[in-house]
Amino acid sequence: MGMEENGTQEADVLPEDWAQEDDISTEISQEIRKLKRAMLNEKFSPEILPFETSLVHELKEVIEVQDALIDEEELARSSGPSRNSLGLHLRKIEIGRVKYLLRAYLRSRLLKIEHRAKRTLHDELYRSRLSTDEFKYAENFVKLMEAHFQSSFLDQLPEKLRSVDDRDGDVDMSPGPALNRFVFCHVKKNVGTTAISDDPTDQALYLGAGDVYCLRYKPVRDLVESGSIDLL
Amino acid sequence: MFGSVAADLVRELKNSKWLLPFNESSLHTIAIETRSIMEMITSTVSEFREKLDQPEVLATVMVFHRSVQRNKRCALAYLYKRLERMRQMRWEYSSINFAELSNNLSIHERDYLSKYNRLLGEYCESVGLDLTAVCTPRPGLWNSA
Repeated sequence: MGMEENGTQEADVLPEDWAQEDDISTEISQEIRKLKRAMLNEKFSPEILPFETSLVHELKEVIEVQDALIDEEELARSSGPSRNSLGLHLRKIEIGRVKYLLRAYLRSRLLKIEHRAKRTLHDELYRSRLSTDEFKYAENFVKLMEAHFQSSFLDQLPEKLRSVDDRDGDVDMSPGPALNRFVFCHVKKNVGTTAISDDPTDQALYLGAGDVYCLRYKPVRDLVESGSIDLL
Repeated sequence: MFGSVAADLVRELKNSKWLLPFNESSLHTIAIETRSIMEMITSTVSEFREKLDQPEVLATVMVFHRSVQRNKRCALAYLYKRLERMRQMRWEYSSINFAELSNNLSIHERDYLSKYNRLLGEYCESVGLDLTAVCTPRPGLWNSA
């Protein structure tokens, strides 16, 4: 984590704690922006997106370091006259925001996993998008639920019927995520003309940078993953 | 008519917002009905062994089979939905053990809840954050780009 000092002379006249605001350098604020973007995409996408391993890892480290620094400073100031330092307060707010973003990101993923746990585990693509902890969670979640079904009802049935199936005749009882849901998206880079629906007779749409559209999710899945469009 | 108890169970679920007392007796009735349908299937098949390709026999067995599937589906949907509601309450009200409502849960459901709490706790620990903490952002979060 780089500690950027303000190059100008103003750094010398600023109160000491204000200069320390530079602790959260531009690199980190970029990461925070990326996390916010990932969190929003996850929130509005009907399916689970790839896990941002390095981003999460780095920001967790930042949080730990900042928490330690804040605690240290609070302790040092607890008896002094500068107990209610503005700088310290601002830093607490800032780190609180980062924690909120991380929590929201992970929670939205967890809820998606819970909602479609079995399918997420069986589908190779979705399985590859989970972190190791999420994978363990999903497995245990499914086991817990199936054990509950067995003990609450299925044990009372003859053995042949005790399995939990996914299909009931020709009806898929556990449908996948609603991929055809409409989402609002903001096009970041020029994508050019792309098909926006499965129907080949439908017109293709030109997606230029800066455009905002409301489209079905499925045709633009790959664009979300590659970062060409953001969900709103 | 087969499946009427199952349909009532699902209807009860649909008409309630949170968690009514666990309907142990309906589930038990459904299980018994299902077992008796299974017996009817076996007896029909053995009685009409030579005539199994006849449409009447096939149709009978089919009706029995579909009824069994339907009963199972309704029962599992009931259980599943209750679990979903329980989890929802747990997330919204944190780990307050909703003592009044736990009277409406079956023993298995109470067991599920405590195991679920543990599972969630393990995940939160491995991640380092309590995911069920404050769900609303502090003001000013969206001001920056």
